[in-house]
Amino acid sequence: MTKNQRFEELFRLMKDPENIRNIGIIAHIDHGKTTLTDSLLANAGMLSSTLVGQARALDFLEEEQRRGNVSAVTRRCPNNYKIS
Amino acid sequence: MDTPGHVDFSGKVTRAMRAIDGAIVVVDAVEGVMAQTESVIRSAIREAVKPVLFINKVDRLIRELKLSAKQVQERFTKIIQDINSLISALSEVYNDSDWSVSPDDNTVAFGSALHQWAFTVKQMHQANLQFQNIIRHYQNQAIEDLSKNLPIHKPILNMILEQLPSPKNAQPYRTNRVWKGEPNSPAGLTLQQCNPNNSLIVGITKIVTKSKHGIIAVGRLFSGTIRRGSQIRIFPNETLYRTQRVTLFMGSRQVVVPSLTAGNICGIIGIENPRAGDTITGQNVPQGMVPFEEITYINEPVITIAVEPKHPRELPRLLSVLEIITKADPNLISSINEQTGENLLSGLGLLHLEIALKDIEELGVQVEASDPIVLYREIPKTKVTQHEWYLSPNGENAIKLSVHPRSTEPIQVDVWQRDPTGNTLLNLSPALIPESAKESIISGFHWAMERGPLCAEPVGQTLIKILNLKLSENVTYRGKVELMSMVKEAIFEAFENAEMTLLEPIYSVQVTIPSEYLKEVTGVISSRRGQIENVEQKGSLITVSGNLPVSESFDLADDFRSKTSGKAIWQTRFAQWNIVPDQKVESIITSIRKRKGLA
Repeated sequence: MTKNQRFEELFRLMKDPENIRNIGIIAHIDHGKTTLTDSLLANAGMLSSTLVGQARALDFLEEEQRRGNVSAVTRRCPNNYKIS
Repeated sequence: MDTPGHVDFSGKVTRAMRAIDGAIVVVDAVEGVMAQTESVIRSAIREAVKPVLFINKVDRLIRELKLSAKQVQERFTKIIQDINSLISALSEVYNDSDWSVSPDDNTVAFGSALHQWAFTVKQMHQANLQFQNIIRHYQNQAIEDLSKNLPIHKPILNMILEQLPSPKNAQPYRTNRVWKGEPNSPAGLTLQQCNPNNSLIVGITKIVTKSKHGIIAVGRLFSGTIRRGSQIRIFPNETLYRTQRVTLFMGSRQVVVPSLTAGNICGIIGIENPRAGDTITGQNVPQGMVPFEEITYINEPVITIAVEPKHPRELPRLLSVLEIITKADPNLISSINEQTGENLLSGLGLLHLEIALKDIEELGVQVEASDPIVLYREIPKTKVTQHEWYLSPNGENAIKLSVHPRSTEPIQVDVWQRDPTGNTLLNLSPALIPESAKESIISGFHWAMERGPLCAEPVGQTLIKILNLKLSENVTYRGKVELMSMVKEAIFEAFENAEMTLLEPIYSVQVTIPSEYLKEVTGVISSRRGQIENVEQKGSLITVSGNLPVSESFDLADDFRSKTSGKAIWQTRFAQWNIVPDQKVESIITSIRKRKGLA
């Protein structure tokens, strides 16, 4: 599948709320929130695996990550979403 | 940073939790369950967010601590027990079904996010693997094989899919936890259904200002469908906006999409001045709709710091950064001290301001901040009526007025002006007053109230009644300066006769602790001029409510933490202004005057 087709497929799956998971990653500071988030994104093809642990992903949640609160407010994992 | 669960975060944490239905709790295998692990779990369960557990940094147990498979197993058991005792206690408090986690039912995974491997017990059984195999991989320097054979995303995504609920499954039981309306009303039922064809309801959790698309309001779509072009409003306000764009977050990227449906997290572009916490709806809402959060119509910042750039040439950038952060956080207010030219930043508490400073530096401006300053108000001790005319400097105009601190009488007559610190100007004079003179008198009122006579703090909660007024027939004798100074000086004379004192801001404080710490916590509060108002037991936890002056709250976090071994979950919130005890007034005035360079 091309990138575009994958996105179309994802977008179609998201229309059924049964396919959605809205989850957060929560932890004490430095227990590995950012690294886990990066790791998952790298495996979903959204981030180069060489960048894992460098806090690159999810810019828009950086504040929460830095403050040791809640992060990764949104990750969607439709049932048959293929991990590249 | 420490202490989430503190007020400075509580709005934010609650909002973020409102958007999600499940959470992966990450615990460092070496450190185990820490204070913040506990407080994030508390926040999650309070909002009915279901937890699963990921025990991270297992590589450190093997490489640094060189533990045997058996010792590793014991450590895992201890962490799971610690987590579960907390989850069970909280489930009991909220009457939830028990959300305890267990390796046997696939709600716990183990691994190393850094080396990108993880496993669940089920997976190990299926692959017929022992923990010893993993230790061997490290001994043989074959870490990459681990991430190939046990890639981290598999167990984590499996837990998410199998153990964490979809919005469709979660909204029926989460609605009454994240929303205060009547659950059986049409609005309550709509929120529970998570149906794309129902009315549009979005809870905004965050405002993104740094984006090429402009300001994006990000939130959870609880109901309905949002499309480009949809007419939306900030409920209950009636102003309609047109949705210019709908975006979807893919990792850190924002993708513009034509529409998004119930259950998703969406970005909305097109709302003017959105705030975190806003409730977005269409023009029509189901009966019984109430917003997720009440709109606080007045911010009461109680602590201020002066902020200066380290390099003076960065002042213009500092000003634009201040604008960004005050937009993203409605409880931060920036202003300029007109006497000194300093940039002031006011907020709800010390931690709140510390975070704001970090934000400023992260947006690229190095700053220096003054020590925190508590804001006070000046107020007359008693009601005073001036029976003599008070003349303007040229003697052509005159006024009679009275001052009333904390007046509770209902006001039905002509209110000329109310100001942000709770003062009111009333006109009872029978005289006919031209518009230009009225404006000058109002300016004189503001002049008097903005900087009180004691130490140039604002006057608060005081009613000024103009009882009578004589204005010169000749316009040139009743110019603006003339009337302004007459009004200001007349008010100050009345203040002098009434004698002034200070109001100080008071926090209400709420502390939840295991019951054995009750004595320590009430001790901390009363030693800080505080009062205990209520003690309530819920399961094994006790909640103590009370109040204390903001000026006594600066190192409260450390005090609570050390006296309760980090077990206290607490928040403070501005409650009210109280009269400062007599024996304290003099020293406070002296220090404020010294700070401001007043004689």
